[in-house]
Amino acid sequence: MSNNNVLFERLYAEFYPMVHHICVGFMKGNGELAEDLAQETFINTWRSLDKFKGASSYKTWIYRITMNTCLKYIRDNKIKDQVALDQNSKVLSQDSSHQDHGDAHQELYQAIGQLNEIDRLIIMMVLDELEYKEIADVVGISESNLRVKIHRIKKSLKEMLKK
Amino acid sequence: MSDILDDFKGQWDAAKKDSAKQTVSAKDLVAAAQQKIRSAVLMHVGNTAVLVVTLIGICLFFVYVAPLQETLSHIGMTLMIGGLVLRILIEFHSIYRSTKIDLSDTAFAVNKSYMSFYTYRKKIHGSVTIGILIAYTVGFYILLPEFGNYFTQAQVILLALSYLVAAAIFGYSIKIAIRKEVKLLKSLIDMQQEIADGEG
Repeated sequence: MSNNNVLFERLYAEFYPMVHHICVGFMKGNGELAEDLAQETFINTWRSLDKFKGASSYKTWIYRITMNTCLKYIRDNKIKDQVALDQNSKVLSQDSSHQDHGDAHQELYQAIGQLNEIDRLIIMMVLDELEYKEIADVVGISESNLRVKIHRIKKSLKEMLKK
Repeated sequence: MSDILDDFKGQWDAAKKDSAKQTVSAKDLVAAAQQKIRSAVLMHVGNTAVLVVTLIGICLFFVYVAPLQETLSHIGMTLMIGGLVLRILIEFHSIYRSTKIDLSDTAFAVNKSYMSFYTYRKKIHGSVTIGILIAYTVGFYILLPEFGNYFTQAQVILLALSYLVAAAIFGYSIKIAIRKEVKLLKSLIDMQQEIADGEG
């Protein structure tokens, strides 16, 4: 087995729950779509392994791939106007038992789901207790701007809950 | 963490515990990734192959069916063949550019790369392809007078008319491709504004 495959297995085992959970939140609790998206994220991770330079931790690096995969998914599906991931993911998910996370944690996903895609991903990283510096590094904005965004997201969430 | 996020944090952690376990092995995912790379390569090769086959067909036509001799016809052939070769080269360059987008970069940088790529695609599907189509069309119609030496008048008229139909279909497909890319570009620009909102 190549070094890349050994590394990939380690990353997959270590970070799958983290990635999957972000995807569930991004997909507003839809477990089936989240699973496809998580698999797509790891396919992209495997394809990017050679590009990892060690400038950030693997965790931050995988968060970046997760965020970009989620945003790409939204973009592609806005254009195609359909909800489907690529065929590989579909084939892979056929045998899996899906779990809809919508019922058990409805309030959480409903609130997060009302935010726009970028804010949704940011707030999930905050809930995952990523340092602000790391989140800024994932998104590609300054830490001060991130703080402003987070403040605004909290305000939006408060207003949503009041309604 | 304080205020409203405290409530969400509790729910988030609870939801995390319920989060699904892996249902696909790392080995299967690697196989899927490899398959995906193969499919992407095949798709690109397929698109380019159509152009290459057309190019070969035209070259064979000029060598074996209608070996045109006049200078004007040579200019026409050059415009047609040159246009196709240019389109093939652009297609290869486009494939190369698409592989350079690094999904492990920041969201801002990746979005910017996509914007740059689709601006380039829009240009290719727009002005460049239309320019090539015009050159190809001019080249084709320049050949028609000498075609009279190899085909009957009815056949030449049929060739001229069928070209118009093919060009109209191709032109329509360009229009659809441009519309799709403009839509995608707009969505990328909106997203970029959302990401960068507040940056000094």
